[in-house]
Amino acid sequence: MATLTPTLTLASSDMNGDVLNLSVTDTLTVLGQVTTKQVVATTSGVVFAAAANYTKSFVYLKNLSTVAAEIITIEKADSGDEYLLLGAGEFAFFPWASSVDLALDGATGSPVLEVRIYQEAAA
Amino acid sequence: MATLTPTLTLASTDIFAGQPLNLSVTDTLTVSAPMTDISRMNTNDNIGNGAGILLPEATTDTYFIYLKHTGVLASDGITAANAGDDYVIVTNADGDTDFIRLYPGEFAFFPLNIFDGSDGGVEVGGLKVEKGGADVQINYGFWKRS
Repeated sequence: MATLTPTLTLASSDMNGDVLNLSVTDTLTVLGQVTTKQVVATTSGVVFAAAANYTKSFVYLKNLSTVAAEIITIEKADSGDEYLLLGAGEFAFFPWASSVDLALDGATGSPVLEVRIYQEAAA
Repeated sequence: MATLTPTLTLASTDIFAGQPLNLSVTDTLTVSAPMTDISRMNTNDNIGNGAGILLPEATTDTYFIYLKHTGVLASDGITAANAGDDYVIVTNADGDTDFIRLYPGEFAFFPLNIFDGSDGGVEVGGLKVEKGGADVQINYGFWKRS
């Protein structure tokens, strides 16, 4: 049995008349494979998580670049449907249906994407 | 303009043998209107762009998105959504991209890709939530990257 506890907080004091101070957490059972790696983005899309190799998983991604122009696009495949646009230092966390491959594409330079994948089921 | 500070922690004491996981990451994002505070809707609600559509297809800005499946059915806002297909499909406004599925209690935070103006092209094209089985309730928020 392995448990992953993600907690997200969203805070802002100048957005509206009210203060934003959201905190949500979950308790996820993750019995399957765990992938932790860093991938270099190029202008040619590269699959970093093939749907065929995973079942439903929870995915954490972070663009480790500190250069503003080094944006990373997360897409279905090279030139396929594009999903996310990670600016320098930005991150994402989401449950991946693993119905499509996940690939990355860099706008310029060689930004590095930190990838963590936690598969829900053991099989 | 405003500042949004997202922080994510991933923690586990038993995911690896002899190696706990304790990741924490934060960012400081400058955002501007159009944006929401934390809001609530059913997957079949129309908030102005069509049923289930949070951002229309012609969205040409990057938005930071927060979504959470609240775990209850849309029919009364009380009954637990506990059928196997009571998940939320997160897709583009056309409903033809299926890469995130939120099951009860699950949440997501991500920067959504922009739309490039060509329908059926290589862009995500807005944001829509669809039911898996029954319509359910979600919490959401979106903020335009400034």
